[in-house]
Amino acid sequence: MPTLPCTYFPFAFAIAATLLPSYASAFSEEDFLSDIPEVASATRISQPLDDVPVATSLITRQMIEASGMIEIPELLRLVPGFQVYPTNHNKYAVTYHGESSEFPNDLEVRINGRPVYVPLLSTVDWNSLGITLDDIEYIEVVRGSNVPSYGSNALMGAINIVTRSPISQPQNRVTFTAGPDKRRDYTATLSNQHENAQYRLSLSGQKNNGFDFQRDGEEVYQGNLQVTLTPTLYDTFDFSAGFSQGSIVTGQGELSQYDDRDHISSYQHLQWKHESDPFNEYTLQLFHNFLSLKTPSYWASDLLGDPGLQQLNAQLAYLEQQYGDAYPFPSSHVSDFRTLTKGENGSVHVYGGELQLTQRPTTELTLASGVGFRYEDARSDSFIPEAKSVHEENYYAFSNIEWQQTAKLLWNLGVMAEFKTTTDDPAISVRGGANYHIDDTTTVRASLTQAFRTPSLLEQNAETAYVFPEGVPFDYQLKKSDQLKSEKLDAVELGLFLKHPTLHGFTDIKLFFEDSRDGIEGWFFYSDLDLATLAQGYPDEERQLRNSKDYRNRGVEVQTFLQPTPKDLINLAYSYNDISGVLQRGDIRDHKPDRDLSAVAPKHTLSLLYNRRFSPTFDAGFILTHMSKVQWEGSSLHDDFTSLDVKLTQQFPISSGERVSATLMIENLWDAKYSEFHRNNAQERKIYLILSLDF
Amino acid sequence: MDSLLKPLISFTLRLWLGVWLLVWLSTLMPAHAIGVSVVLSSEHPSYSTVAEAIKQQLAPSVSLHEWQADTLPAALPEDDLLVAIGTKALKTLLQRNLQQPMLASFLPRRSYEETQQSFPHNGNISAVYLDQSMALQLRLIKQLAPHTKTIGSVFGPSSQADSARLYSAAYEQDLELHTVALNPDDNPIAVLQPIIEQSDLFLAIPDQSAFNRASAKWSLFIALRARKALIGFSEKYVDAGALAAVYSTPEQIGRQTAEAVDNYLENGIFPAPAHPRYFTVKVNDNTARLIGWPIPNAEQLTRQLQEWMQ
Repeated sequence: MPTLPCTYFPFAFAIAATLLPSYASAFSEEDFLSDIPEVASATRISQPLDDVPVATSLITRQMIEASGMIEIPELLRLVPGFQVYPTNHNKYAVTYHGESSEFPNDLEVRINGRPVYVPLLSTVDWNSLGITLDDIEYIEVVRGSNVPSYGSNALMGAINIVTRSPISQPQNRVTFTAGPDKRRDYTATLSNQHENAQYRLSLSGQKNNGFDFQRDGEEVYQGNLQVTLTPTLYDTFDFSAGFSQGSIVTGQGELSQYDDRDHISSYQHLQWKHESDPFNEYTLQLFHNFLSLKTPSYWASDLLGDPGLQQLNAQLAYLEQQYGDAYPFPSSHVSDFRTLTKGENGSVHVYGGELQLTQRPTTELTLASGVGFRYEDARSDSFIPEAKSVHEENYYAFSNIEWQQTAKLLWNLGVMAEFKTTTDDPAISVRGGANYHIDDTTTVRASLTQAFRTPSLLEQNAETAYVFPEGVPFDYQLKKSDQLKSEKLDAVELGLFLKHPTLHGFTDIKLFFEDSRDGIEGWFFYSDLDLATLAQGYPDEERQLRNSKDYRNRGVEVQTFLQPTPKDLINLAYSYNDISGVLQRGDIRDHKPDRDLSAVAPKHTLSLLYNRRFSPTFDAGFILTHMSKVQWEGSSLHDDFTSLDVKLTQQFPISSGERVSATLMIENLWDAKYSEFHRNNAQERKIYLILSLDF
Repeated sequence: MDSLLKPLISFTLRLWLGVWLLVWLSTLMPAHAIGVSVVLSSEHPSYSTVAEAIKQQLAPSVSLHEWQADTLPAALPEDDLLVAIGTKALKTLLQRNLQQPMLASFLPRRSYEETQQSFPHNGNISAVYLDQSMALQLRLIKQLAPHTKTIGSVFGPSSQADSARLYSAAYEQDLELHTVALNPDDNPIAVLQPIIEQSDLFLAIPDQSAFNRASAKWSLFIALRARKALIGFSEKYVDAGALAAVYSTPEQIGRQTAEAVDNYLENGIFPAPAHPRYFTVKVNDNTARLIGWPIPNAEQLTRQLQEWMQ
């Protein structure tokens, strides 16, 4: 596997390039050739899809409307290689080329450039984002490591959700969605202006009862406000703030293992863009995210089925008598206490700031460089003893360079250096890529990436033990890690990008070779003496997070997007991934043998979206989805599935600019019987009716 | 007499035959190579594409030399006709005060005229502009929406110089024009919103790239919200959401440039400076649907504009 040396070369290059002379800024043909901003990009530089160093997919507003999908994470089914799965009725997880767990930890998700990765959970909580599908303008998905651009959490990929500008939305809108399990969703968006401020307000509520068996419903209310100010032609201020409050159900397995999970989240985000001259653009952003999670606590006696702990205290008295001075615990009597059974408890604040400078010193060279910081402060009732607060500071610097060496050859170089106060060494991730345009319609690309993911705040501090108030340990579960190092990824990508001008689309084929080392997972060992050991008669196990997982991915991805006529839209996403590797599970090999990882990601994933506008007011389409067998983490389920969703939309114009729309969405049309993630998550045909009024 | 005339006639015939043979043979011999020096403003692919298109169009007997403006040698081939691709190349050549015939190509009309004023050239000089004439753009609007009465437009610090030409073209095509100046210190939305809302259609006029980037974003958003059509000036503008644009590709500019060079080589004169004769129309069907404007297809519009030009 080729590796890239950690080097400061790109930084030096970036600094040198800023010293290059700029020519006079008079009007010229270059003003015709420069880009109109359309999308954000993998390198922080606006690039067309055939110039990016790693495969990138775009989910446009048009595709969102054509798909008829109901939940934000489901949209990622349209992207090759992505797995989207409900861990129960309302809770989603998204992963790419990784393990299919409840808390996948190696994808960075941002909203308008604001990271929403939750360090308290080491994943993204899709239920508390504070936005709905109606708020989204487009989503950019980087399929491959994007650490050199976005930092540690983008080890396997990155997602940037761009919301609709207060200025772009033509109308106000209200929608109502009715569906199975007594689903009732409401959204209302309002766009307007006050003096020189443009604003967009969005409010929504979602409610359903969940699956029949576990009643894992949700009741969530959220809202966001976005304000845009343009004091001058070259200055734009975007301020957004939002909240989400409500309850979902978490857990899987037996009915008793499901719990309500209440959450409150909020965010504030300020972004200032300033174009000082044709060659320099500054972007400053400041943000704050807050998330609080709470699940019910239980009396220990209830969990043990021992009212008043009478049996346990009798056993302790007996043990003290038997062991005498060798009695190992500080007390022979324990009192009842309240304890938690789920990890999703606590609160976290994330404060961040970033300054980026985008420079175009010559027509051939573009640089996007900057510095940033993030301060994370977390308190977890489940994972941090005595609910103490833990915090971490993360400082980083990055630089991405796009160099059009010749008419056909384009280079991309990127580097990210991250410095955390909780780790000794900086993590320096680099990427180099070359795109060669064979002709107007054919581009080949190759890129090499060496990326590091530093351990999250949770991974560094998590510690769980059930201990009675008298100091008697009932069960040691998770020991705090003291030797974690960064996860490492070496990746090679070879790509072929074909434009289809007559069909108004493209095909992107990607071959990938990824070696992931030192993945952070649980390492099992025999715990110190606790009551669980005494109860079961043999040493109890405990785990500690260690760098214990190595795996590799080899495969191919294909995405084809076509609009053969103005009425037709086609998006095909296919992925073949041959994953192999081993998860070392520690010293207790009899009970916890090393785990073969060859089935933890599906070999084949496929989605085909087709939508046709039959008339200006009526369109219809379908999505065919297939995923081959996968071994879900923590589940015995090993199913594959194929599902067909169908959507019909009829619009009823009322007057100019005003209309009512009705969408009938049928998920799993042929009522295929399958489960995702857990046997309880049994899928069946679901019918939704979505009504909207634009005015 | 006969004895005297016969050899004379024979000699004359042979001489005539010899001269005729020589002339005929000379047409079979390779001609003396005519030189053209093409100077590119930079290594940007668009300039290279123009140069390549010129090379493809010119006769093989024309000897083509290609140079970069930044690395131009102190002395260019003396007899070469000079072709400057882009503004920087033209400035570089004019600063040298060369007397050779010169053709500027792939640059906006405004840049050509300003450069000419700064560095006058006394010899034979002409240009193939990159931008379309105002008349052609307004004609596109007429074909897209025949009932259009009022057009809105905004001028930046640089494009202000084009306002007279736009007003003149609008008058000739019986269109009412509303324009406003947008300066760097202005609130772009406060300036753009009234002009877009008051007009049937908005025409974007190219200015410096920073102005284009900043104003395009807001113009597109406001036009979409007001359900008004916006006509851009480049393919990228249409990709970003403009309803349509008429523009010329580097290949099309290269073709016209090669024809101008040929004309000079044959007749010793350049055609007068001109806007592109070859162009492409692109439309954005998605935008058309969003704003509820049924529009003809791009090929049909291109054909109609070509017929109008002829």
